[in-house]
Amino acid sequence: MIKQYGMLVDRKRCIGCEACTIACKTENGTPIGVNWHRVLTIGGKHKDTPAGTYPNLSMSWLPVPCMHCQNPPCERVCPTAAITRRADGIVLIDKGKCIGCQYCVWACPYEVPQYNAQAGVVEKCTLCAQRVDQGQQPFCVEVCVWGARIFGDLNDPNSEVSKAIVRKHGEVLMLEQGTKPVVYYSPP
Amino acid sequence: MKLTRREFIKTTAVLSGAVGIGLGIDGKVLKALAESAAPVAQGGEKTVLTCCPGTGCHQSCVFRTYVREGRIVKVEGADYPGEPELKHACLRGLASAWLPYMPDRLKYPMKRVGERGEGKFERISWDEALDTIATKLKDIKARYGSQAVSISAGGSTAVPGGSTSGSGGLGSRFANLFEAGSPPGGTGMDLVERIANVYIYYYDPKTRETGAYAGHDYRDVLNSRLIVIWGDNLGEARLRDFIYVLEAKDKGTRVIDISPFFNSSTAAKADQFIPIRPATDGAFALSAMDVIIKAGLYDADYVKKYSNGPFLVRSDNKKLLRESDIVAGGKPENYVVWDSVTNAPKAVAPKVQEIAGVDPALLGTYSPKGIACKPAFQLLADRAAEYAPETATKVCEVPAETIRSFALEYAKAKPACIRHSHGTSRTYHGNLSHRAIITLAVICGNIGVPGGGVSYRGGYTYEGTTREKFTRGITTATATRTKRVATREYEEPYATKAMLWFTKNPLGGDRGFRRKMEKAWPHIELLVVHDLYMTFTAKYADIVLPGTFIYERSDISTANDFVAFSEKAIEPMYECKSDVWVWTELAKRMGFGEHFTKTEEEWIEYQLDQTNPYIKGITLERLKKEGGIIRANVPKEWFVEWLDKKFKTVSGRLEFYSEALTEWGEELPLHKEPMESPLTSPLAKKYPLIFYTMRIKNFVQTMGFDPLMRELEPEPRLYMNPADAEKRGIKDGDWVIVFNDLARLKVKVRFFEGIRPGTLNLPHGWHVDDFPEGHYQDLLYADFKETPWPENPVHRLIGFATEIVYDQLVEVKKA
Repeated sequence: MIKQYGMLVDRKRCIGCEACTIACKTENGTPIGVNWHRVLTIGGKHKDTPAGTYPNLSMSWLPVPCMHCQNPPCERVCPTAAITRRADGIVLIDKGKCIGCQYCVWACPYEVPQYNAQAGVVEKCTLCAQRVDQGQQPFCVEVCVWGARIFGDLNDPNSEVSKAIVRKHGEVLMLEQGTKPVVYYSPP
Repeated sequence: MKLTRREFIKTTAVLSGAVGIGLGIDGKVLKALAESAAPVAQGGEKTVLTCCPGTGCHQSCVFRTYVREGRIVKVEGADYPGEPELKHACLRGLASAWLPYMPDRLKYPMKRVGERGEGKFERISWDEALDTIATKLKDIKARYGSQAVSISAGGSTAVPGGSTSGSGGLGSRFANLFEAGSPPGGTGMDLVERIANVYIYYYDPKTRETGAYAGHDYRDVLNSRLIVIWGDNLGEARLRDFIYVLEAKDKGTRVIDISPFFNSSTAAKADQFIPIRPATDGAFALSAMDVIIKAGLYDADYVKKYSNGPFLVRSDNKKLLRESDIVAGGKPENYVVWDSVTNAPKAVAPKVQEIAGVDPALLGTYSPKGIACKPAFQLLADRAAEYAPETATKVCEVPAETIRSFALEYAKAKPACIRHSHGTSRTYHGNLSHRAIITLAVICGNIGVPGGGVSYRGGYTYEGTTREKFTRGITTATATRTKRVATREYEEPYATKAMLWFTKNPLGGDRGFRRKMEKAWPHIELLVVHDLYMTFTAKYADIVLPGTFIYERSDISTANDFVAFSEKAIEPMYECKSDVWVWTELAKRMGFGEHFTKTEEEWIEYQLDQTNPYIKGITLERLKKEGGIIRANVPKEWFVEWLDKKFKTVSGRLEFYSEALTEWGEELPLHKEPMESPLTSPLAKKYPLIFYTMRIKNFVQTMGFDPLMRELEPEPRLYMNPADAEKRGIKDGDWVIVFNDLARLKVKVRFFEGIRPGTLNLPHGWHVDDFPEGHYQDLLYADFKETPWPENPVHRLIGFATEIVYDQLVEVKKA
């Protein structure tokens, strides 16, 4: 059966430490200023600040890799067909074909694609395809020993990730956009 | 997750704004880094086992380091044989792959050519550097004696738990052979907790034991029915330990966080956040005890057996009643309890925890031989009653109802653990707060039980290597040359003329130290700094030596129940040389080179002392053959402190009543205001705000300033409650001046609802160059000599020279 890779972010276990962000940078060598992975704070105005008034406060985090949508808007708008969705569901940008027009940056509701001014192309999270192809997990999943990330095949109902999505009530971001993301989030 | 595109963009806009702007003060660090090529992992790398270069978090993780074409591309947690769950690397560890390639890395030896501190240097050869140092050391020794030279080796290049180069390593060996003066004692951040521990667990004037200080294994929280994180930013400072808190929480264990700050993940993940006024934890703990005692929820059997609660205390002099006080020929070392069975006094010998048929009273008033007495527990109950919730709430600002519910929950959830850190103790009277917290655990029977305890570091690290071998195990006649005297060297009469500082950045972080050194500099003839980067301290050196990263040399680590061989991953960058090499070369020039003839690996073998039962059988050869990491000969069970209940006090019991402290009225815990109190000090009119500095996830002390961390957190921010800011006309992001009578500091404000109004917090670790004016250390007293306060006799009594001066107030104004 064809695989559809996906991920559950267990927001109860996410402590906003950004080990994933750092891991992404060291695995993929993205330059300073280009981040394929970000961690957003659901709280106050600034990063790592809570919502509310002292002492009635709350804060949680939202790690944002590429959603590897099953209906990717970035793919649709790319004038050079540089963006493709692999059979296993990983959405990739072919840097050789990319002309840096940044239509995809505009089209993505999750603000995932990042323009690398030095290279003149748009880049984004590849779900660590180079690792996945060797049977490994994406590096952000590998380093999250806090247990906030579960990766696997969504087409297999018995995979750890599929079961966890059901058990932990995983939901996707911006369902109404019709993008069909494969990254699920459980409530904090 | 309900989040519309509009809301999402709002959130991200803030984030990308934070990343895009403010790259350091003038962006120079990140600009330089952006120009350096980033390493990319592409497969085909060789991997080696290494230890984490960080030391200050005391977690000592072991890494798998990926190297391609002589360059580190990434690191990840290494697999521990048989214990896969120990695999761990936090964001700081993961980012350390970039550290050796920092642009401000020291590249070659240099000598100072400008004014001291000006930062003007000229490249010299290693030979010139070492010869200059040796000649100068001999000259100073001839003119002032060897004690005029102070050697301080250790810090971030050392692997915790054992190292060839750490503070107990070759630097000490060199210092002993040179008969150098000792550096002044550390500033002792954890000494105040230890003082409290000594009085309760160890106090014996004869043995003067100060005890190990760690607490339960960090995984033991899984045995707890309630986890109380008290004044500890566990979720940022000890990220590995926090995994187990999350695990316990997933299983239904409640987590309570007590703090004046809504500290990032610690507070966010807690089921309940209890806000408290800084330095009033003792009042809160006493109030909880009042509730527990009045509700009869204390563990009476435990208190009778394991604490000095049943011992009768004389009302006339507050001393413990002795058998000799009431029986002719009675032993003066024996205590007296009131036996409820016979309704008569009964003598109890030291170290005896139970007498068959005797049921000692905990409450009441008794008059054996006409001497008015109360059991120590009754006195504790009386003391706690002074802190009834309605009274205590005025002191600690925790609502009375919250105090009550916390007390009942803690008493009922057995076992319950308390994880704490410096947050409860960094003040002059912090030991009282900490004694109150331990006493709360004592009366609920939570000491020495799995899942209980009052733990600080969390995790039992055995002493695998025999550090003394480096300093005392020398077999030649020079072995006895260890006349090191701790000198107050940077003060009158300025006895110290030369310093050798290896991986030490006191000018960049130690409170008040810059100010203190201003007076000492004219008397200093030589400062040698061996470090990885051009630190603020290195700028003041006469000779700067480039050191090696853990990745550039081999070393050994004995922590987390494992022995790990940290293999050299890459060749040293530039002309960087290890501590081992430098000490060896200097020793040759000083004429005691015969004590430094081993190679790096031979020193490692030397450390793996085969007479030490913990590591017997673990040799370097075996380590190399078996993947570099082997479990030490330590028990599999998670360490539980005081499991045998054999407390090392004179009575053999938990001494929450401390007879030795009656003179200062501190025989029982109580609340005392900080030396500069916003409530009671006249100074508070001028300086109304409490100033704290906390640790954040990005740094450990002044270590870990790699480009990746800079990207996440580009510049220092002063956390300020908007209510305090508005009163002063300060807006979010404004530059402000923080000041007191000692100094001023310029920094940007970050509005933070998570901080108690009246309190400021400036995370520590930021370098002097990160501030356009001043540094947080300048706002703090260097030591007691600088303060108008007397040294705390309760600290002195057990021989700790603490320098706890976090009692300070400040004011803020718009810059």
